[in-house]
Amino acid sequence: MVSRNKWLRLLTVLFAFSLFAAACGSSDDGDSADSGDTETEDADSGVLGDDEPEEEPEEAMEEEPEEATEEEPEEAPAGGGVTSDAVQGDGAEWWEQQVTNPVGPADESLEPVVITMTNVEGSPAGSFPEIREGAMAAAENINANLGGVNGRPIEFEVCVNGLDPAEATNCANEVADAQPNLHIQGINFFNPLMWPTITGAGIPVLQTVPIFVSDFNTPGLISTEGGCVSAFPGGAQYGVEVLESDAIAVVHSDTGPGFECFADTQERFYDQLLDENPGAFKWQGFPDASGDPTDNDAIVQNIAAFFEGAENPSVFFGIQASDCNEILSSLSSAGVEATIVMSGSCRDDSVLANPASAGVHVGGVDTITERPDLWNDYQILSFDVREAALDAFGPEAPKSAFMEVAHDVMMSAWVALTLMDNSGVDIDDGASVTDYFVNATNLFRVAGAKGQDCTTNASEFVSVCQKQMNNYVWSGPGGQFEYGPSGEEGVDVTDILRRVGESNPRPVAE
Amino acid sequence: MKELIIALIAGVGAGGLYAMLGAGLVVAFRGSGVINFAHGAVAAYAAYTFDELRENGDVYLPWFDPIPEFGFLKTLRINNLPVKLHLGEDPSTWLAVAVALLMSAFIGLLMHFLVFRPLRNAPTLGKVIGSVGVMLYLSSIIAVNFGGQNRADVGFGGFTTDSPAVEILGGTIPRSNFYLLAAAVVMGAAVWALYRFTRFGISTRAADENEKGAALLGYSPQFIAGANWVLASVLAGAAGVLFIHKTQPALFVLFVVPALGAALFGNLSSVPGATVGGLLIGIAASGGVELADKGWWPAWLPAEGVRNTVPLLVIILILYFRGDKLPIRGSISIGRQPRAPESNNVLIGLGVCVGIAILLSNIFVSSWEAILTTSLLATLFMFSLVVLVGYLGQISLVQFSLAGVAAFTMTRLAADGTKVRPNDFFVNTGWDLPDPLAALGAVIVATIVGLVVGIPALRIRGVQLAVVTLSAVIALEDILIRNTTLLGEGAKSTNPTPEPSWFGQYVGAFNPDTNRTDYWKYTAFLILAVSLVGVAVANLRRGAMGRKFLAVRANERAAAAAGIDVSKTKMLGFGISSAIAGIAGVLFAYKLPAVSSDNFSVFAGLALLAFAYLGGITTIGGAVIGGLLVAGGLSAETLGVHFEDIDVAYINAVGAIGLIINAIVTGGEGIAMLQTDQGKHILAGLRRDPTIAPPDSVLNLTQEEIQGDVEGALV
Repeated sequence: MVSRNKWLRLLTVLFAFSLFAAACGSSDDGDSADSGDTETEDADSGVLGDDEPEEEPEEAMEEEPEEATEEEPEEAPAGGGVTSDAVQGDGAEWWEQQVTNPVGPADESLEPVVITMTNVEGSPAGSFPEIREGAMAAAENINANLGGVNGRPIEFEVCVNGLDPAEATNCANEVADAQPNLHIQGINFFNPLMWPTITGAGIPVLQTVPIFVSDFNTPGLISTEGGCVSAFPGGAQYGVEVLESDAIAVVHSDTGPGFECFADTQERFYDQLLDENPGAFKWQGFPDASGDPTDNDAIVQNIAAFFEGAENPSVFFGIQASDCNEILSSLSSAGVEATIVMSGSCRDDSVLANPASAGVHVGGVDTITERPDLWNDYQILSFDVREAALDAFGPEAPKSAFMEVAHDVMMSAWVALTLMDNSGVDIDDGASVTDYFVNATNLFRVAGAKGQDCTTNASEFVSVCQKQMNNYVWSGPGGQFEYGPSGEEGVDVTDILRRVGESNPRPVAE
Repeated sequence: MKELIIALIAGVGAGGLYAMLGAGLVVAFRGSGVINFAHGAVAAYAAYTFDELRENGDVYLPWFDPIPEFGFLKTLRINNLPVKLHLGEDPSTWLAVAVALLMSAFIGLLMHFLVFRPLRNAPTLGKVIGSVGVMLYLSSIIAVNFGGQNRADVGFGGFTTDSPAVEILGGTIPRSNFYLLAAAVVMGAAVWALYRFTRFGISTRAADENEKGAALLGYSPQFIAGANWVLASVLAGAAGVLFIHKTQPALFVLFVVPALGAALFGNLSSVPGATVGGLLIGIAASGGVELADKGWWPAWLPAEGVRNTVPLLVIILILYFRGDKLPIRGSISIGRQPRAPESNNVLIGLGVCVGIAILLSNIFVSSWEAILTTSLLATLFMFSLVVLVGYLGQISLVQFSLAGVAAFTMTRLAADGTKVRPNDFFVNTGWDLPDPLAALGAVIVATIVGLVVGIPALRIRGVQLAVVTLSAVIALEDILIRNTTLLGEGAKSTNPTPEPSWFGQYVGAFNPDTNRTDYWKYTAFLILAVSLVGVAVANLRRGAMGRKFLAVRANERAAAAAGIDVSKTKMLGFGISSAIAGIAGVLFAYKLPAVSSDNFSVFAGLALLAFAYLGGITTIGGAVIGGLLVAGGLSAETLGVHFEDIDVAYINAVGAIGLIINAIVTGGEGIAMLQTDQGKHILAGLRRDPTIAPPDSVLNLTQEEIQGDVEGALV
């Protein structure tokens, strides 16, 4: 009996250590994607190497461009490729050249280019490993096949935090200590706590999914992704000007970021549009307790009451995918007749598989990724390169939109850093790198249709270069997307961001 | 009025879910005396099982392979334990339902045999921690086996979004809501009939009322408990499968809170009562959404929070006024309370700890100094748990929310209406009090709130107090912490922390020179606070008040008979503990550029309680060890270097198992007492007379040595 107790006590101590690890597992400070670990093992299984999985992109890279030059000569640069710096942004042609003619592995003997990331993982209430995995796959591909940044390998260091502010600030401190060449921010619910440390250390930052107001208005941050700033004002413009709805119900999340995004990027914009079109429509916000099914049916009842007398009502979803699905089901179950417009955050397999999703308008940027038949040759190339990289270096888990975004941001960072290096910008100097991004008038975002002009960012949203959004209509489960009424061009929010800043500015203290 | 009626009727859908879950909680409690915080997680696992089987034809058993596939182990390709079973392509819906319910039953059996049967004689706190451990384990294993992707199960039968809506009073209500209502009523009635008319039910009731008596009559309390665990888990599984068309399976974990409200409504003994309670909570919550949408709703009362909070507040009142009538589910014997020894040599211990902390703070580079302060902050907070839970025996889950109340109150009292940092979105208008006064005011507010929350403790105790304080966590978050009128515009998101200055010295953690959260004056300030509070808590334990606390913890009636004013003692304990939590909350806010309600969530509080329990909730040393263990703390970050490649969900699952084993083995005394015991053992060995050799060493002596010793002794 005594001996059994001793064993149990020993087990307890062992498991106690496990619990330490449990705590720290969610605060992984590890450079888990350290290039040093990954290059050797995977170097010979490159995207454009000899292995089977790479055959497809090779075909794409060699064959499609030729077709492109025949079918779409207007996009063909002098070199006969599928990209044009003038269209997709500075560096697009160089990118095409690199991915179609890979130079091989980076030079390990050179000083690495350090890129850091922080990301939320490991909590049931929020975990986005796919962001880390997507960026990691891109970094490994760059090191193994694309020659690094002018030969210098990328050392990708990730600090993972759980839903704990102490862990998040620890990560910010680690990033500041590491003094990377560039920091890519994953999804983090503690961004406002981290920016003072990271930007304060003079580190240039690219964002993947901006969600807080401080993500939009902090000088030194650059976002090639729009987040709330393009999705919500664009959604407002789409509902009022394109769909011409006379009653718009805006369902927004009652979480911290949801509340901030609603206050800053929805409320002011609907008021602005109402000021500009008096009496043309009415609108109301409906807060949704995220993850709580109790309120869904009641919210839907309130929406139905709000729609009384309206001829062309619409509901805008500015909530996360799981909540989109719940509210969509409740609207359908209750038989509410309205056009449903969703931000890109609702674009999720669970939502698209919902029978009630037929006919919904879903937000996006550029092209419809689910419709290869609508892609041009540049898009075919960029998607194939991405798929091949994720296949070769990504996880076994299913790919996701977040994974693709993170991959593309890392690739864009690689292009930009190389162009900077080529043009004499010191990429080891944070201020110089930040200046490059801030002053970019034609920034190439890999897989993006157009170059982005960061010099036209609205003063209230100084960090956000992506100001374009589109809407696609979903035909229902098993079906496909079509361009919505705004066509391939979509909605440009550059102007409304400026107008709101002038007529309905963000409240300012003192 | 019409809209309100429609909203109330629509609430029967969620109400049905809460009723089913609440009924299951009552069944588990009657069978074993455990309030199962993992009940929602069981429903989640069943829902995932149902969806996974329909989607891919796979069934995941509720564990993971102990030899995972990473590191060098990956090359071995060893799979020791089967985890995934493939049941074929496109299985029928009814097979999926059956497998999901069987899985629930299996989990129920495992919970009984592996966790709650070993804990049957443990003190209440041990059972609470055990069920928290199961909840954490199941949540983690769900992440391991099913991943984080959203699910899109449209349900089956009438429990689907496809059913045409029902028109009532001009409004349209999902038909499945009425099916959920019917399912809840049918299940409640069936379980009631089972307990009322069958031999199994009668034996359960007998064991519920008097376990010793039932055992003497020949019933096996453990068989009864096991059978009830299976039944309770099947009810949870059924709720998960029937409600999956309305929500994501992962979210079922959180539904345990309203389900607990339903169970309490049923007095923890009546399944029909729990069914009615669940329905009322769902209906009231839905009606609350409608009311909150009205223009006349007062701005100072957060509309979104009221619907969650009012039912819970009603439950607290019910418990307070009829707390003495609530059943206490006993067992044949109750294990002893964890030891709470006096802390000897406090000043020496203090000196050593402070010295080490100062040394570390000077050695560490920036990020590690911030990690040190995380551990110190957690230790400071855990002192409040040592006082209230360890010494006084009051299982309160609300203390971390009180820290949140203090943090937000401090930001409000100190704010002067200007932007703290250029990019802050929200700007706090406040009282512009000097920082020491703002901190003092915040601690006073936290203490007052803590005393109010503690009032039910005068009438109820044990696990019921845990439930009430859990309800209070929700109420405080929704009514107070997220109240923009009371606590400022950022209360719903992030409230900027004014830069704190005490007597002309900036004491915030954000270092204006390095931009890191590593400012040495903050570390020093924190070391001072931890030291002072630690000494105070140690002295409290050594004084008359500490003895009164322990007397109340051991037996309230005996304490009263000995002349101790139990009510006053309890309130004093709540007050002291709340004040300490308030101090920790203020210093927590000083560490961060802004505070958010998410920082003080119910699960963050439970995790801190679990770490305090693991360290040893009855001692100062336990709080120090608990502080080292917390996420972001020194031990975790140090060991994290060696676990960087392992999926966090695996590690969390192993950690949860560790917590459960700790609950079973140490009974709440934690690592600190284990170390103390080991230390005493070693000291005892050292104190032995060195001239007297232990017997075994005598055997090893040579003849010459023995001869020499004997001669020496003779001289």
